[in-house]
Amino acid sequence: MKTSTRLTWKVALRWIIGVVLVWAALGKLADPHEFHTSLLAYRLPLPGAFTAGVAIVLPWLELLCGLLLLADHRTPAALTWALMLFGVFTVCTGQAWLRGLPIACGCLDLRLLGLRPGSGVDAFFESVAFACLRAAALAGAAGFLLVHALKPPVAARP
Amino acid sequence: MAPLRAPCVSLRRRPNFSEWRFRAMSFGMARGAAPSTDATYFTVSHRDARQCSATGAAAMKAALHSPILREAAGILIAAVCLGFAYDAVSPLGVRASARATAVPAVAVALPQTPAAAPEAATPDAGLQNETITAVIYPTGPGPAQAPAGERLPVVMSWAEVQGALARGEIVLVDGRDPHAFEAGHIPGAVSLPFGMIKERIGEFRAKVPPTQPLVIYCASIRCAIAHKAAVLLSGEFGYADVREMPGGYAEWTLAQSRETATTGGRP
Repeated sequence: MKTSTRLTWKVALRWIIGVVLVWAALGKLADPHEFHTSLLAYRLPLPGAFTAGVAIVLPWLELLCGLLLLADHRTPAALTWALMLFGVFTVCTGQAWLRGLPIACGCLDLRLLGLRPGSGVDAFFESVAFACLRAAALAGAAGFLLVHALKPPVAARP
Repeated sequence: MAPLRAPCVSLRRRPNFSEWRFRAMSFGMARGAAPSTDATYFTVSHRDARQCSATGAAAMKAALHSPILREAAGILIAAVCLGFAYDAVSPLGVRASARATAVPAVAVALPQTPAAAPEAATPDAGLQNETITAVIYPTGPGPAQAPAGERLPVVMSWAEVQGALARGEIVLVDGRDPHAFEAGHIPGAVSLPFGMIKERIGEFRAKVPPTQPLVIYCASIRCAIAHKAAVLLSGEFGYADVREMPGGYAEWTLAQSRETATTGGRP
């Protein structure tokens, strides 16, 4: 569904979600095995083959959805996936946060921002608590945009 | 008669627009009244559970044929195809790493100082070690010292670590989570998860004396664990010579894949 290319807050929100998805995907694609081990650190009760499959497929799902959102192409479908992905991230990081698992999120490659691993700022951005809140906020944004994308125009309402 | 209200899913198709839209809402309809027959607006009343069930089935059937779900399924299929193709060719892929880790490891005890030997004689389930090297120190009452000579840099590459590990000059420490260690690690590495370092340091010190040079690695250059663990071990726990291998497990995996490509898979 095509929306206006005028820079509105909805367009800006869509771009933000797209950039975050592409950023997260590129970091994972740089080292799929590291992402696989990051998934294992969440200690989810899932079969090993399923976790490996997720580690293989999820970065590409993020990349495709991010690019589609940036291009404003198949936006409702991409937003549906984004909502599901961020929802799952929120649950996974939330349970890790509540259980106090000593893990690094591994969601975003902070070197792109010039942050050195081990610095205080890096520790904050890589913390599970921040990752959980960030994923929840992005899930909310994706859900909001999806509702707006699916809402029929006023003139077409019965 | 009061209208019945029940939540359900309605499907409506916008005129001149080939897209289905879903809305969750409540419908009010007097009992006995005919449901809407508008061809572009598919609504269903809820006079009884049976009719509502039929509504759900119809909505589900229509949803499976909606363009949005078809597009979402297409995105998923494309991601699956790209993911498995990329994983097959990437040396850092999940499957490639599993193959690289399938190197038979020989379990040999860590180098011991005389004081630590009695404790190390008992098997320790918490500390996993597979060191295949042995360090021979000059006998004497004092603590063991690493061989004198060239001072190794604080940051080491796998090429440097490989040589030092083969010569028995260092103990290689894997700072990642135990699950990651089990999924794959550099042969000869000892697991000391950074998240459990305070709980495990006692067992670790019993086997590896503070004078023993250590090299710590984690997943890859993106990972901060090696640096943090090196700071902690050298500062708080008194290890005199702690270095880090920033490339981590990813660097070793790439080296293995290069070696395999060079030798054509021959051992």
